[in-house]
Amino acid sequence: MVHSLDPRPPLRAALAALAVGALALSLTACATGPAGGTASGAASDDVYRLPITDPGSEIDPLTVADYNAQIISGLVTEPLISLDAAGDLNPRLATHWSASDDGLTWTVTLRDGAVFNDDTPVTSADVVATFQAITAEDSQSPGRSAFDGILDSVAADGDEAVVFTLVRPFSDFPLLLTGTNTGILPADYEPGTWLDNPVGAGQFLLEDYTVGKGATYVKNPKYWNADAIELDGVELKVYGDTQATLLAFQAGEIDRIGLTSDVAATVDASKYDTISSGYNKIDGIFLDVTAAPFDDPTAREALAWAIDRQGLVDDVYQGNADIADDVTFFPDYEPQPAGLEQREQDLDKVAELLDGRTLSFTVTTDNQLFGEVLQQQLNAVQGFDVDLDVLTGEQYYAEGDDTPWLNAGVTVTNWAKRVPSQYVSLIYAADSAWNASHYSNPELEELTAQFDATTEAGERQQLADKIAEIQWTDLPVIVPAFSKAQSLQDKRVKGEFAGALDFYTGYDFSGISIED
Amino acid sequence: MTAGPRLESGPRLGRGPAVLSVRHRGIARLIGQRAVQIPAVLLVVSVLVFWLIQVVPGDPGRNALGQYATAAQVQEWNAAHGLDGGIVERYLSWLGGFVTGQWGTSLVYGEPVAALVLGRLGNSVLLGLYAFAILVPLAIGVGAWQARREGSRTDRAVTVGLMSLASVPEFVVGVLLLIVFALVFPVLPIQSGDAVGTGFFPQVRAMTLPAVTLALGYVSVLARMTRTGVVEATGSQFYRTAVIKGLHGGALFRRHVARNALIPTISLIGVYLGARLGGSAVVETLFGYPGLGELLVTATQKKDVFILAAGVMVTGLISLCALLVTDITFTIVDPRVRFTEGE
Amino acid sequence: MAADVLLADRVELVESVDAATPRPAGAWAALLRRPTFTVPAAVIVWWVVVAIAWRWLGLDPFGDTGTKLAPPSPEHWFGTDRIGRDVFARVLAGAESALLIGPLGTFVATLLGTALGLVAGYRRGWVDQLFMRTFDVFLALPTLIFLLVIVGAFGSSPLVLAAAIGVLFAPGIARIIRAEVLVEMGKDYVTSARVQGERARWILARELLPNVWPQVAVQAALSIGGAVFVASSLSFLGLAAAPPSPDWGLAVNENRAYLQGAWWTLVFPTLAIASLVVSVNLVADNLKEVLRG
Repeated sequence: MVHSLDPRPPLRAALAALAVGALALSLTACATGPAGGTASGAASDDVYRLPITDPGSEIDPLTVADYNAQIISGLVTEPLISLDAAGDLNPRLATHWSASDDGLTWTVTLRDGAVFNDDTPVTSADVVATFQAITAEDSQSPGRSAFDGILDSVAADGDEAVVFTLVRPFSDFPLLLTGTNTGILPADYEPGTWLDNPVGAGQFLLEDYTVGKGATYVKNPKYWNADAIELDGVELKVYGDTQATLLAFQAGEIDRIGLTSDVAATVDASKYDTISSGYNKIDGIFLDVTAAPFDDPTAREALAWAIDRQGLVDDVYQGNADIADDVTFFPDYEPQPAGLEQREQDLDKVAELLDGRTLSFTVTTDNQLFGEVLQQQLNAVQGFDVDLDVLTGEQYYAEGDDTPWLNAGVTVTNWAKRVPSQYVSLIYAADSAWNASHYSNPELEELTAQFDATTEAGERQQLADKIAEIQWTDLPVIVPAFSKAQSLQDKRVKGEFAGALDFYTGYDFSGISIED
Repeated sequence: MTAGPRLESGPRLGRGPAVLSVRHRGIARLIGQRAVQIPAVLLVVSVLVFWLIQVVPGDPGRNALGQYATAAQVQEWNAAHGLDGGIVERYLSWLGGFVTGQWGTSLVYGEPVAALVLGRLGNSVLLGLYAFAILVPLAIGVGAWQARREGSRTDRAVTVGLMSLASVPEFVVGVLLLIVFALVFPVLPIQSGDAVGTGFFPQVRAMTLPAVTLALGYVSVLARMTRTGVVEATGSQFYRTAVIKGLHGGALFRRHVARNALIPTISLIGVYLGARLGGSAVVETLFGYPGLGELLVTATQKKDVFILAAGVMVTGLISLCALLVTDITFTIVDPRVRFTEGE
Repeated sequence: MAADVLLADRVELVESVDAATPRPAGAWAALLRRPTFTVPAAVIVWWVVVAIAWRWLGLDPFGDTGTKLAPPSPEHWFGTDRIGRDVFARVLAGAESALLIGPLGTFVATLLGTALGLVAGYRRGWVDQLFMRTFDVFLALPTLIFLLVIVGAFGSSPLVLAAAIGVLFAPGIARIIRAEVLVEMGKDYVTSARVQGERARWILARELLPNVWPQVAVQAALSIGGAVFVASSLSFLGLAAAPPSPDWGLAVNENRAYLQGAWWTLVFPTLAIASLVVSVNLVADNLKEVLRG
């Protein structure tokens, strides 16, 4: 029989715990953390609050590759040209551009009176310095790849104009000036020092950036179009976890969230505005044409006819995409190729093409949702036996000659929106470093070079038709859909974004205001 | 001779300065030995970490520059950040820098490693202590309460309930708490990291949910330890003798139960403290709390060897020191334990 | 997680002082009389049966049923997930990988740990010190980082995961077995065996092992629950089974974001994990109480 125990916790232990607790609480007063509190989206300021994930890289406009790192610097810098939501060119620091008759020289006129946020004027010397830094031999800028083989040199033509000399005619050259890393920086800018002095001619000034937490911006009063900017500032908030982002959006801590399946299932979309704008990327299914089973063109065709493209659009993109026809011409591009049949799932054709064979292969990708849906679809079709290998981004794009995204037999890789001839030179060209299909077609490359060289509409249309037909027939890459950006936005935000929702061709908050 | 604690049966509550000095000598010897062993262990750990991180797929240069950079650009980036050269020379140069206080620059964030790691460590320590302050009284209280009702249905039910709680992953518990206390009843913030550095009460408020999540994960084991300890202590010959001798109530509990019941609990607390202080990546990521655990996981995934090596050194040191403190506490609290010839 | 396992010996040592010697004979009868043993044991048996036989039950855990994120209904008892797969089928099919990695890892840990513990306890001296310090190395290395690196380097197949878990849990088991061996070493039968000139290996296998094996069994049982839990927890960082596997841990990770919008995709795999872990722990608890008096 045990005598009644004193039910209070052992005194010593309790005292110890209390002491520790008191110590802990008193230590919180001198905790480390960001210097200077930052307002967490107080409703008093007209600040647009965006969720981002940790960029996990240095912030330097010349070398940023990660989407989130690009936003951090992109809000402060200003490019020569940007694209609006319809895909048309928008003058920013450049007001006028034209090509010479032979197409090898482009002259760009700079805006009068534009200044950097430290009051120095933006001159042609700055533009020249920036582009030289991007395209230099020892440049570490990922933006260089867009200009390789196209841009030969850049030089000033007085203070107000810049001359770009090309290696070969490229009729879509102005579009290259809207790409990544093209924010104009002062001529005396030292690479790697941007965060010490965040210089730029853009719409906002960087107030504070804390690793892992976020960045705050205020409106740049010296911006050339400052009157059009109605916001007081922008706030970027880092969330490590999609659940946390979702909860923050529900609690009203951020103004926007991408409309993915989990978001759609959780929130009542009618309480928010659904915003959408142009196309942002494609997820291409790359088939190695030099190895079994897809060295056989009928196998590639069978795959193209077996996919349920609308199903992909619904399951992977939540309906935010348009069906594509295995060509790399986005629907908002002029000219649109004509005369091609739109492929849809046709099981009879598949059976005919397969002729009793079973295609056995592994899909390798870093896009888990796409891979799972694709595998699910194909395994339900007679004649397909598909395995799935989902890798992390670091694994998928690993360094080395045998990197998965370029060497696994069937891969699904996303490519940001570019002009068609860029895709040809980067994906379809035999000497391209990123030709995952190991495809080679001199005719295609020749046609594309002609397409770049001409500006005559009729000729461009004809060439576009031929290029698309080759892509459609040979199928080194299957393009099932053109993805669009769609988000939910808090109703307190008024106005429409001038450019694409995820800013891949320029950052523009003009016309956006907050109304509480 | 046998190594390890040698247990003597029967009560030997020695009294007087003679006993104390014997204990002190034992403690001093313990500390002396560990002072040599801990750095040795840490050295081995550092070599292990440096070597193992090589085999993780990925490349820091490629991670930084993205898929559209050329191989040459990636190589240059790596060279510029001290990633070329043989592994041995890189390790030695890192080691030299580390022991002299130069911990390098993060490959991923571009900021000095020391500031990043130590700053995050401070945050993790705070969170760990807060969780500890919640966990210990709760677990000891529940365990002792259960012991009183040992064998009854409530005792069994509480055991099963606590075990079920322990088998639910932290990120599920955490999200449930967030939904209840940050969404349904918006009394607590969603992202704890926002409040760091903004003052005493806001920070305590913000840290509550992650601390509770951490604490709940361990209540089960600690309560069970306490319960077992109390039950066994009150069932022992030692205890029954004391009861027969006429001791009861507070004195009985303090002198004859608390010490023996607490021994397993203390050792476990020491271990948990060591583990917790190193940070919990899961909870930190979910609540956006800028802690060391999450930093180290990111460093591992992105092969940031400088952060990882420094971070592992720091957490390893803390764990081993927590062990040492536990062992010292053993010698003080448990009259039956004596470390013969050291461990 | 490994930390508390590694340190369990400090706890166990104190507890075992007054323990009676094990009595396997009446153990089964004693166990079967306890509902806290029989109910969890039944649960475990159920999962084992399901893990083996799910393929013959006509379930399809991968196909598209046509409705996405459908709530539980008579057609889909546990509802469907984000690409239309039946959650009930996935939960049942997931038992296979849950039961594979945990027990396999425990088996590796027990084998390794017992061997190391026997040798360390028998040899003592510098061999013992070496082992102890090696275990300290594992203590100092953050568990998660270690697992991340191993899986990153060698992939996440069940074999790799089991080996990693085995390596993690082995030191804890080794320390406890070692402590038991130390106690046994002082006993007469060991001294007489050595005096008679028996070889070390014989002594270890024939004399010591039979006397410490109840502790081995208890530790193994105690570790299984932890191993299953660790295996499931690995998927928070995407380390565990690969998509489209219906592994419970993976399912919990994939469907975290649907807690509010489609709770059934998350709750049922979580309950499955909890049921298995709790059941294993309860069974182990009872085993411990019965085998060690």
